[in-house]
Amino acid sequence: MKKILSLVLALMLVLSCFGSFALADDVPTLKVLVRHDPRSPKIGELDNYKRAEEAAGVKIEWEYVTSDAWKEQKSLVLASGDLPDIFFGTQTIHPSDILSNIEYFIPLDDLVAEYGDQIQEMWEVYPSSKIANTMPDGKVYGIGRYMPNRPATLIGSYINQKWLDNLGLETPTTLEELEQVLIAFRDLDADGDGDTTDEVPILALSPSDGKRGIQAFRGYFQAENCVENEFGVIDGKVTFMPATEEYRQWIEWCHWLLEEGLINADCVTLDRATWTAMLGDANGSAGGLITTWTNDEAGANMDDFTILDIQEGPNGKAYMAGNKANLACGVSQWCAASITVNCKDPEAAMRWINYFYDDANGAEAANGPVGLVYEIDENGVYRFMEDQYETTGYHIYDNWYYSLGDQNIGWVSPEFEKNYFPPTPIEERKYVVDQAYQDNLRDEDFIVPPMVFDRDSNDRAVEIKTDIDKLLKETVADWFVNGITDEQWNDYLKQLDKMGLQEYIEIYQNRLDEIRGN
Amino acid sequence: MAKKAKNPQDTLDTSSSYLLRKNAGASDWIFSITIWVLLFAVVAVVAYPLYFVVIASFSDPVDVGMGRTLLAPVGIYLEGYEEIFRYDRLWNAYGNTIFYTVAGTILHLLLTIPIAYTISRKNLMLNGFLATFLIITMFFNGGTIPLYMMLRAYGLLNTRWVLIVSGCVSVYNIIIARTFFANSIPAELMEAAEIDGATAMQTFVKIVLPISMTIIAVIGLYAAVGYWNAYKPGLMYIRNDELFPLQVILRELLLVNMNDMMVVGNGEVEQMRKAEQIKYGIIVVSTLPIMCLYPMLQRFFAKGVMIGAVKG
Repeated sequence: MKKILSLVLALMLVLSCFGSFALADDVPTLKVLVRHDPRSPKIGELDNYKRAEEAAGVKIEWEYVTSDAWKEQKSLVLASGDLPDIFFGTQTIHPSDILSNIEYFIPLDDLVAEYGDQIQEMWEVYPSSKIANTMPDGKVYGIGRYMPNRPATLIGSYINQKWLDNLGLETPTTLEELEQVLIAFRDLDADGDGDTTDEVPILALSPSDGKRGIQAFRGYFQAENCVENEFGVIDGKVTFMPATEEYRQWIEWCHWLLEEGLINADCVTLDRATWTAMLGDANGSAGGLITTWTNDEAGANMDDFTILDIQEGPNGKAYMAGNKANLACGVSQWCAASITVNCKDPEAAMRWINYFYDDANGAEAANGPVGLVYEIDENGVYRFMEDQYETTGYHIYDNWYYSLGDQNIGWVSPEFEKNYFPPTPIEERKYVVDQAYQDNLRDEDFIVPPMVFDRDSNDRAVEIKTDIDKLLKETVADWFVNGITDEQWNDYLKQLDKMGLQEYIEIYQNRLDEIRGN
Repeated sequence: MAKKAKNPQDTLDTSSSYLLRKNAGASDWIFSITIWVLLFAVVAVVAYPLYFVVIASFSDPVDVGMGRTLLAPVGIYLEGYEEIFRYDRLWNAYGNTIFYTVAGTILHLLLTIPIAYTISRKNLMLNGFLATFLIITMFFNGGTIPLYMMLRAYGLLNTRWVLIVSGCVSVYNIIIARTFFANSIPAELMEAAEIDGATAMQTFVKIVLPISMTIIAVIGLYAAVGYWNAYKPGLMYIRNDELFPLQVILRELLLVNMNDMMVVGNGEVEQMRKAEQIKYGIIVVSTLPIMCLYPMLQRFFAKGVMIGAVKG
């Protein structure tokens, strides 16, 4: 009897083993390569990502590459063909990577039509998120994203309110008024230490350091670029902004600043570390006008700086570089997810990707799961749990600790973003600046969105851009310091033409017409 | 000292006592002082940057940025070190690197010394061919991608092995060691061993190795420094957190803290400041152990490098 019993038990054990094996086989496994910030927990361990696996009925095998090693790893992976099933996360795969390795990626249009209803919704509301990833063959190989609560402008101008108050001056609103204020900063004792010579009216960074330097003033002359590239669309025509008369005015004005001693003389070479150190100096005297992401960068002197909103320049309205359609930060040309030819079950992969593209899941993907980072109040509004939120001490962006941060995936609808998903306390500070500049932004028509060209045009555009960028860099630095003559300006225009500027513009114009025509 | 100076041979040897000599003439003094001044200048030029890194790593980054830390730390600020030491991945990586360095150096010596000895023997068939063959690999290699694919085919990616195996043979070191064996070990010694009935293996292990400690120390130090500083293999072949060597983590610590705020978003400026100090702290943390090794091996080092340079 015992023997029979044990035999039955053993048989049951064996059968149950087979049973569970059979069950495991039903769930498709996807190998996902993700670029991740080593300071954050691994996203595969977060609740919302576990729920995504369940909802889509897939098993995810995560492979993490730390963000600093991504560049090396990406080129190895693409060159050796050692592909995952899915590349995951924005700033992971760029459309140009797909363009040069198109045989590795599968077109996603049909899959989206069948399994990606939520992604389609995003494409309808933010068409640029689709355009940015549409290949010249008209197909989409990578899914973009829309990140909520991101600014439309990049750089804000701040003026030293303490100095204004000390001198009894009004906050300037036109460029002329600003010039007067800067001259007053230079000549008078603005910081109130009894010395009239130690004030730096504008404390700027080297022009090569992003837009924190004199580049930020281009909008005052209507010579700003559209963030994504050096172009702007004026009267339906793609215009190369650095070849305009307005651009010349801007550089002449900057030269005037330097000659008059209204800007720090070392601003061509000043590095970021010294700059932030000077701004945050405990003795004050940080500078009168700065251009920066938020006034946080002034450290200890942060509260001295208020937003400077110049409304009028010599050519009429003064603009800020930015983008009302939130192309600047919310939408990215990078693909948030792309599926490779290695993937055996693209349907399942698309189901899983699509999971992140709705309000609730997009919100969690952006800043972290509900229960850990957010609580939802009785009106359905997401509240950032600051008090319970565990900060780690070494993470810059605490509201991005439990997410991929700027490498994010997903989207939320404008309605949800406006009513239920307020900016986090950290985002709030940028949000205030951004709101202040809403009236200083050009219409959406001005923007040349990020686009993908066919391979030949792309190669040519990159080639021309390389030459032109070099020329721009050299000339800006030279003219800023030495001023500019008519002859130099004409030579410069000729040189641009010789480098293929017209062809460069044409490539953009043609592609833009194609897209806008559709 | 003065008595000894009568012997011209001694005067030459005790160059450091020039300034102490009683009967030194004016020209001697000028000569000595010039030398001392020059040497001091050279030492200052070499040592000051190191010293600066150390004081900058303890100073307030604002003061460092403003150029106020020249001779001593200003406004002691230890947040950078706190940050470095709080990074728990660092300690795991430190352990890993010690393991890779020790294991790698042993493997490196086990391969390099026998290879060098073998091709240094004139009575080896094809030794010229083998040497040429090795030298060719110094100038031509498959490149990064084929190497990656080969390591993948061997199943070495994402294992500890890949970091030990990559860099375990260096042709440059083999040539140095070969020159040593060819020039510094008298052929008569080996002949004598042979006559006494020693096998080739016995000659190598019992006769050659004991008198080759200098070259072993030098190659060992080269290898150890190489393994300690290597970050490329870790960056390219490893994805598993647990296996990262120290240098990859330090690079990561530096880069992720330096993210441009404009690209990534809202930032705390405190972090930027810290990042500046972390830069200096990292240099101190990562180079201290290997710098401590140098003085101990110094006497082998100077001698051994010379040996490699002398052509027979």
